[in-house]
Amino acid sequence: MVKRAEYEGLGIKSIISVPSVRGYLFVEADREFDVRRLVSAVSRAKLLPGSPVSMEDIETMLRREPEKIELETGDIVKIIKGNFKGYRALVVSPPTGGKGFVTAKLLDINRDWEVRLPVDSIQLEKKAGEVEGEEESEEEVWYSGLGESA
Amino acid sequence: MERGDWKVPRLKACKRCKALTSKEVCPVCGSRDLTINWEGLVAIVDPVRSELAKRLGIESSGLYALRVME
Repeated sequence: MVKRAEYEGLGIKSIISVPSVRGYLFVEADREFDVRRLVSAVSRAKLLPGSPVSMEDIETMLRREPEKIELETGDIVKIIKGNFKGYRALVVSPPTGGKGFVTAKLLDINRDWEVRLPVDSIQLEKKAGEVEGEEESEEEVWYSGLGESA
Repeated sequence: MERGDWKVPRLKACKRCKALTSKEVCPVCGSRDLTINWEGLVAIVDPVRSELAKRLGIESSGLYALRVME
């Protein structure tokens, strides 16, 4: 898309993909005609009808701070990005000293795997206090399940 | 589109200037301090006329990350 904009001499100034607005690209150009020509070359892209987005709106999107989550040992988090996307993990060491990484043990798999994850790739699912109660009940279900099969 | 769906080279972001590259050296500032932990993408085509480039303090064309994690 960028190469096409450069080679064809379209009046495109920049293209931006904002993480909080997934699936959309914002194209900075003087004329809508240039954007139309650019988009027509991309098979899976459509130009949305409507008024142009102002630079102030784009700036607001860029400035939006990611949600800050306070994590502690024993919390259960859901991984929302990367290779382990969709897995749940138990926090082993929370982020300290301003570092944006957390060490967590993967649940939902049969192995004892600890992984280091960036804080913005996880979502808090359950706090440690809630987790303890639920883990006990999960154990009960597990053992009663064994009893039935035996 | 997930990165794994297509054979796109995994880009790294320069921690100093946020430029994206598939190589080991930043094409903008020459730094070797690169990371794969980044998000958001800006393609600056015309740095002189682009309002966005001015607001982000970008002076040369190319691909840049919006946010680079440590």
